[in-house]
Amino acid sequence: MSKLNSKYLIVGGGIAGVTCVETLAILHPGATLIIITASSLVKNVSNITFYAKTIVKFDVSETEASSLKKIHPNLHIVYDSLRHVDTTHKIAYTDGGIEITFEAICICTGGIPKLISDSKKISRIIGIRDTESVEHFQEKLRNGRRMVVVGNGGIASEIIHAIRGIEKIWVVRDEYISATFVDPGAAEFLQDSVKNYQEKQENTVLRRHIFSEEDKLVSVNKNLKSAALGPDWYRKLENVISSEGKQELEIIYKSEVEYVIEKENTEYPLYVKLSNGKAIECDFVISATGVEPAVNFTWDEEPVFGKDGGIAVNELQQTSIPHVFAAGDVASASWEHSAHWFQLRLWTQARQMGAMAAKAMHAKINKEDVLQDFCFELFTHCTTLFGHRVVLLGKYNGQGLDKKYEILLRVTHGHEYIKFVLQNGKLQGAILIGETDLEEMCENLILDQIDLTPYGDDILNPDIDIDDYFD
Amino acid sequence: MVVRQYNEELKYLEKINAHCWKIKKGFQPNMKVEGVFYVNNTLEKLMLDELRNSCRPGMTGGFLPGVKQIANVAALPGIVGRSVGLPDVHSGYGFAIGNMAAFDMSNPDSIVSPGGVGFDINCGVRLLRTNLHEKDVIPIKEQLAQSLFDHIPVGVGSKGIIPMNARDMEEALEMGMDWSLREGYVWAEDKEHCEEYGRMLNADPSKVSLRAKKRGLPQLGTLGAGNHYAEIQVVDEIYDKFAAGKMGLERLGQVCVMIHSGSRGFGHQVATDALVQMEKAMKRDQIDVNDRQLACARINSKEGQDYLKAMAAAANFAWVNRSSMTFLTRQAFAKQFKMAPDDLDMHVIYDVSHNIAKVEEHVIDGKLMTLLVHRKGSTRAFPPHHPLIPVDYQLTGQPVLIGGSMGTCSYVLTGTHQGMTETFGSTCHGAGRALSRAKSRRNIDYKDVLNKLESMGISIRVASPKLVMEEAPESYKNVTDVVNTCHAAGISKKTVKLRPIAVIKG
Amino acid sequence: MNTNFKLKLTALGHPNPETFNCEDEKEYRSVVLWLEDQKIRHYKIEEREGLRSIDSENWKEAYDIYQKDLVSPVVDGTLNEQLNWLLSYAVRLEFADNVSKYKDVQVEQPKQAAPNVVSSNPLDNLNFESPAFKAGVDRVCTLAGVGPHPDPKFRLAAVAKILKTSPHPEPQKSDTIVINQPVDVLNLLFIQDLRELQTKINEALVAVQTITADPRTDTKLGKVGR
Repeated sequence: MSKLNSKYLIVGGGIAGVTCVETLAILHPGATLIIITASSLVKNVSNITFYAKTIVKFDVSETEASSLKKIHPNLHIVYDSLRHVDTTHKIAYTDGGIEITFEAICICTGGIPKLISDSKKISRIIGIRDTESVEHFQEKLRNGRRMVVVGNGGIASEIIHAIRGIEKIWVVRDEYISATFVDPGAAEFLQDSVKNYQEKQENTVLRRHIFSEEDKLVSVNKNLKSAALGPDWYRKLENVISSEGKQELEIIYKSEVEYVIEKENTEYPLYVKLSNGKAIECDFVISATGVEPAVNFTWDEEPVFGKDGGIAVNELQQTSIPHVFAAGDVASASWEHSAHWFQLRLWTQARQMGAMAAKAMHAKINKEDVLQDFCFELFTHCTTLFGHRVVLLGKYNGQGLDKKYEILLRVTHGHEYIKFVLQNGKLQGAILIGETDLEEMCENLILDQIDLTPYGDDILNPDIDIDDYFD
Repeated sequence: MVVRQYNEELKYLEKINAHCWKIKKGFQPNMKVEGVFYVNNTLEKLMLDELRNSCRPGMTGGFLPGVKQIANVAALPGIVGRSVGLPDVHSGYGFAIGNMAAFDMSNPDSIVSPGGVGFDINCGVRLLRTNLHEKDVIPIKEQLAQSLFDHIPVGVGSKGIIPMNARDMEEALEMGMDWSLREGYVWAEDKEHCEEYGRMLNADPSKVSLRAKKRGLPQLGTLGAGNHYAEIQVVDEIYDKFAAGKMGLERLGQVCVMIHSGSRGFGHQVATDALVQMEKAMKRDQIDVNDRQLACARINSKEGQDYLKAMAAAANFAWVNRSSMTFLTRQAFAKQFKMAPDDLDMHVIYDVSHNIAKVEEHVIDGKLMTLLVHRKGSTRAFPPHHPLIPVDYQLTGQPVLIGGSMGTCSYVLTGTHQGMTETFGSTCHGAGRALSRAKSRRNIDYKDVLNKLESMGISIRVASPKLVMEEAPESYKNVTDVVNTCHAAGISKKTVKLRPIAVIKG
Repeated sequence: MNTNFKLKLTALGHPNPETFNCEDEKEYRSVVLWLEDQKIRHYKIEEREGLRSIDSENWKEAYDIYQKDLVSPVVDGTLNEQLNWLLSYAVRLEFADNVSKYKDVQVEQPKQAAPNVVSSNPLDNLNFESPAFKAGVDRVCTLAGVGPHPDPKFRLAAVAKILKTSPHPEPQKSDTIVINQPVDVLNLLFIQDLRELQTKINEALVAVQTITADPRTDTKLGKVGR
């Protein structure tokens, strides 16, 4: 049994873990730093673009974990999984039998997909959230003719958008698509885009994507412990077309999957029964309904857990055990949230939490004071859906406003969708789709709580550009 | 607000010369002094169109035309001289952007107004010269642009080139550019060529809220907020060989770097905090203003002093930002050309502030007075021999840097004696905007979207175009028009025109 | 004013010059009495009764008479001015009584912390005693209407004050060049001085930077980090 010593120990090679490592590398270049990752590939953030102070867009890709050594020569990478944490003696034990001492530890073990009920029995139900399952998904897709996609989040939307050449049946609980991210109006706007997109695609030559060696993931551990997908993961699948060549999309609203049965000697191996009574036969079911915090190891002393099952952390990403931190999907934000922030398990927040945890760990070891990063003052998320830039700000769906709010809207089909959520004349949230150039102004209007009553509807009057009005 | 017919409104405006209009008392209520604005024919038309549109029935919207805003400022307590609209004037929060106004420090009623400074406190421009020629830079301009604001190199240690923690922040707010200087990121000569030597001495970080400080701290390894940008430019035309020579701009094609930055979110928070306090102070001190956005406080009140100290801290913050960008620029050039920035002659020509309030001495009606000068979207432009301008520019007058909007031409002007007497030594700051303009005509069609949203039971308003123009107005106040007007009116003098060859977003 | 009083009281050997407060009426009066009793002795002892009654309402009257008797030039001045004259008068009497004792006393020059700056400014090397200088000052003073004073430097200072505050008349057209040329020359000389000063400031800043700057930063090389 080998023994290692570290000042900082990071568990998990997802966005939160890697960001934590990168931040510590800058803050504390001389310190010993160990990362435990189940996979030889880790997540990597690149092409960071600031649209405003807190609105940041970035790409997520995968990279060899060893490349992290470039930024931090003292980094030690352990390809293994965490088995047990002894918080009293500050020692971590891995499945592979390595013993690692630490002064501060950050748990970034991510989440696991929430699967529909029958998934455990049937291998043709695939949970999408994780790199291993993407590989699985890609394999299935090669032989599939018809699939059912369940879920209404960004990933479900992206799958629908990215996959061609296969019949797609999208089962959505709500009466509109993309509920997790956007409101019904935006969904309508985006749905138009997907129709257009498909029409444009019709005449293109069908081509099968050839998977190269580098697409294969080296997986050391089959338990789903690595982190979630990047916003652009589906690009890999962009040109994948079923050999049957047919593409079709059917959306079934206000429905959930009741059960799934495997059938033999039928045209399709799966039989899916929906809550609206409808039955569908298909090759496989993609479950993309969300994520649950993943804690697959034991503790000598358990920290306090939050309501959603994640490890409860305070505003400095610190758990109830002082030298134990947590960041990303595994963490449950249990501080008193500021008026325009809430937790949503997204890349954006994994990155923010990872950096915050690093700062707090460094401050703790060096006995310095640290302030919570300003990004936790305002919920922001920036992604691309159906080829449009989508920026979500604050209470963009009127979350927690108890329907006591107004919506101010501006839409130009195929061009932009702007929604302001106003309460008492003050901006509480916004959805900006397309190239609106309003990101920084909206950020400031929400943070400053400037009274917009005097402007009335003119604040979004398309004839007035107000970029620098509030400069 | 007074509602009058356009023809009635025009009676209060008088063209006093080819480039200057007077706004007479009575145009808005309680005007204590007259207003004035500078235009050429094109800008004049935009200015009057804007007024005409606001006079249409049903157009009492929240966006006042620039000329009304200038007049409302003329009604503020303690204002002296005239409320001045520069050629790039356009609608802004409270004060129009491109409006300057001075208040008598010895009058106890005089006020300070955050709306007269703007939210992006000490937003400004800095110009660096090089001894490179356009042809040296063109081949590697992409690499240069790429490396300019790349992530701050790893291995810098916890002491970033920008304040990274609460303690650094406090120091930087107090010291301004002296902080950057102390840490070794800028040259001693940089300070000399900076308005106020890059430091407002009355800054008091304890008057800045914790939220503002948090809002100012950048994310690690980045320059912080977006919307900083720099342009690599080349000298396109020299109008004043002597003055240009004093600035080290000797030949056409010479490469310069223009840095645009301010205090962004930090300044926003400082201004917002002050506005809240001042609304209370106005009730207490019974200060009446024409527009609620002109919230203000007496200069000598606690609120007024607190704001001035916090504003100074925000100004210092902006200078640290521009200094950090200067450092990164020099570093990027040094890397690409494998030469020390010294040998590339990368000196700061000048650094100007566009959004700031300062205590200055001016002669009004033959009397020397101490004034609080608000410049919002306006640049200080002091004449030759003024004691507050650097020794190198004693003979030429203060350099004034005018950034076009991203990607258009920029100009260097110098201050004049006429500007000192007419506009309190102030001139324009850049391209302006007409109130009614749109980048693109938008085709508004929202019916199905609306249907979907209505199911949520939320009140929905829809923004749609209201200004129905006979002809689409020209949307932009072109920077060349603006600069030519300042030159022709004599309030500053054209020296050099710069043409961008690359724009780099921070 | 208080420091001035303290200085003089100390010179006169007053028992507690440090705590003397001229604003306190009682202290003021006792100091006046002390001066007459110990130093000035203008009155006979019995004539000092009026000044001795410090708490009396008539003290002020006695004080006025006393000053008139001393022919004080500041009888109509403020209380502080009056006291100041009295103190100076007492010092003068003290000096006159012991001329031989005081005349050789040398004022101790404070040790100069900074080395003597050798000025290259020709104005600093002017001989203020020279007849040419005196004649020049006389001429300017007549023009500016400055009255006589034995020290020409005083008169020059007065002229400077007047020139700074009063408006300058516009020169005659024919005189423009004559006036502007020297002004330009002075301006250029001033700018040259200023440049040198600024350069020295910059050098000082650079010297400080070598100590304060993060040693891993070498701005000359545009390099951060190791």
